[in-house]
Amino acid sequence: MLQKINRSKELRERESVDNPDYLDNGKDLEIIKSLNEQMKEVRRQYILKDKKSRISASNIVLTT
Amino acid sequence: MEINYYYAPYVDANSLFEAILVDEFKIQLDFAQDYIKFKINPLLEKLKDSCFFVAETEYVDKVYRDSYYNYYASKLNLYQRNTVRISIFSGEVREDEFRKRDKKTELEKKYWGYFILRPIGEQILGRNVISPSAFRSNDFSYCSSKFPTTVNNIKFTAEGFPHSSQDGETITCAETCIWTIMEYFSNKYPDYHTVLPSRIIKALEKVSFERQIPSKGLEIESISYAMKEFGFGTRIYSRSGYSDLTFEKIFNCYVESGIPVIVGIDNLNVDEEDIDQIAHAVICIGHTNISATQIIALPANNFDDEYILGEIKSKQLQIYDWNDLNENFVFVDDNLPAYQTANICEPAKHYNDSSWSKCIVNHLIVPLYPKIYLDAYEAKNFAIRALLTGLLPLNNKQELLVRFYLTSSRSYRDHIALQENYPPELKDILLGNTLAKFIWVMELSTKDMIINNLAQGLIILDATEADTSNYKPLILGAFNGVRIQPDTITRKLTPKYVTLHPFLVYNNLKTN
Repeated sequence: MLQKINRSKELRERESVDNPDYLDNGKDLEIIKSLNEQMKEVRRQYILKDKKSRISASNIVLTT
Repeated sequence: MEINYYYAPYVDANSLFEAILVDEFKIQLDFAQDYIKFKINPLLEKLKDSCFFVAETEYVDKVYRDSYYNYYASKLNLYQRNTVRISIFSGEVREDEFRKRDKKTELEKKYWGYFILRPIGEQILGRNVISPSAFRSNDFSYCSSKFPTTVNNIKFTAEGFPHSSQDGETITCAETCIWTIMEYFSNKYPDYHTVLPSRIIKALEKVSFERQIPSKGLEIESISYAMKEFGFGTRIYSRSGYSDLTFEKIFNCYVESGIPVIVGIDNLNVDEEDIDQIAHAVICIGHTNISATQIIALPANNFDDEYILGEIKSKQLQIYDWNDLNENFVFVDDNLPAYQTANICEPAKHYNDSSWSKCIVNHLIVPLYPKIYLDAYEAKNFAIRALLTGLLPLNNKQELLVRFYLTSSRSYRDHIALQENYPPELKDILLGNTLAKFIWVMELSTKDMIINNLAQGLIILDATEADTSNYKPLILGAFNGVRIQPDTITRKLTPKYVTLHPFLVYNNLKTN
């Protein structure tokens, strides 16, 4: 007999319960904005570190 | 051309190698004894004395044959084109057992791999794949692959990490690292193919400004370039670009991810007159097995990022990072036998030499799958910041141990599919939805739990998403009773309740 199974859909319909207390009243937007700001700074640092990293690597010949 | 077979137990190894070098390779006895003493004995001393050797002459080794046709054959001096292959078994095997069908399984169980002897003088030890089980010291976890081979006309499979000593002319440490990485990946994944020394030389032809053989080594950028030509999305990390702490965390993270990393070690920053300048390439393939004592000794809040430290302080958190474990790493070094274990602070301690002892790990060349766009630095920063900003709930004064690694979704799904104690909701989501080919996983645990290989929460990131704005890399997060999973189409986050009980952590490395 043919069976079609979608466990994620079943989960959504039967077991999944919203948690209205968490990330409510616009708190989610506040957190997302904060995370975005943080990741902008991480990217800025990453570009600087990567630049230094590449300059350092360009001078080394591995021979031994 | 007739093939000679030799059978010898460990105690007769010296006679075996003397016979091969003198009778087969026609090397003068005095030289042969030196080569055995300085090139073969260091390997033998590492092997268990239960090893039994089977040698086959006239073996066509693909790597040496390539070097022979492209280099050695063009010299005036005569070089033999065939090699001798030494197979290793755990305990005695007899010639007649290789002709009995009912002995095949027994022989397979005893098989520990092989090594090649090259007829080129001092650099005699060639390609080899030897199982860590053959080594006296093998309490480590490592990247492993399977290599089909034969012994006395019977098919076997060698399991381990490939290794070869450099010949110093067609391949130095740098080319050997490239060959080794390709040998490993091509035997493990269909996306890659094995490369021979001449192919490496060819790949670098357009970016080389001098003759390429005899080789004088390669620049770090050339190694990266060659790896890119062979199908990887390579990343280079230098100690001087990052803080020492961040650099070592990145190194540890990639090793934990089961990715063999090419490591550039050097003493070039040491300003002392009486030392030789050294710059060498090795591969790190794993780490020694982690003890409970090492986990207990993990330092709390060992970060150098101001934001992370500030949040930890304000929430009075105790965060332990698995990447801070002070374990020894497993190195594959073409000047030494395979599976050398050493700390990141003294990667060349086995050389017992004052110049080598000043070497430190200064560069990493990481062969990533080309569609892994999110690297370790940004991915880990995202996961930690997702926790600290409150995307997932974090209680004040919470103790948390984070374990962060990259893995293929295929391997991770295989790990959870048959695990009965994995939280069912997370299992249904991860097994019932499409995932990126590679994912970053942060397992959230505590010291007590991780000692038993357990975690109680996780964050899963899409390794193909380089844009970290609006939590785009986030696939799933679950911790402290809350599950967050962005809607596939709208990307809206709707937090859900979730029941989380401890589940087994995943290990990318093979534990011996």
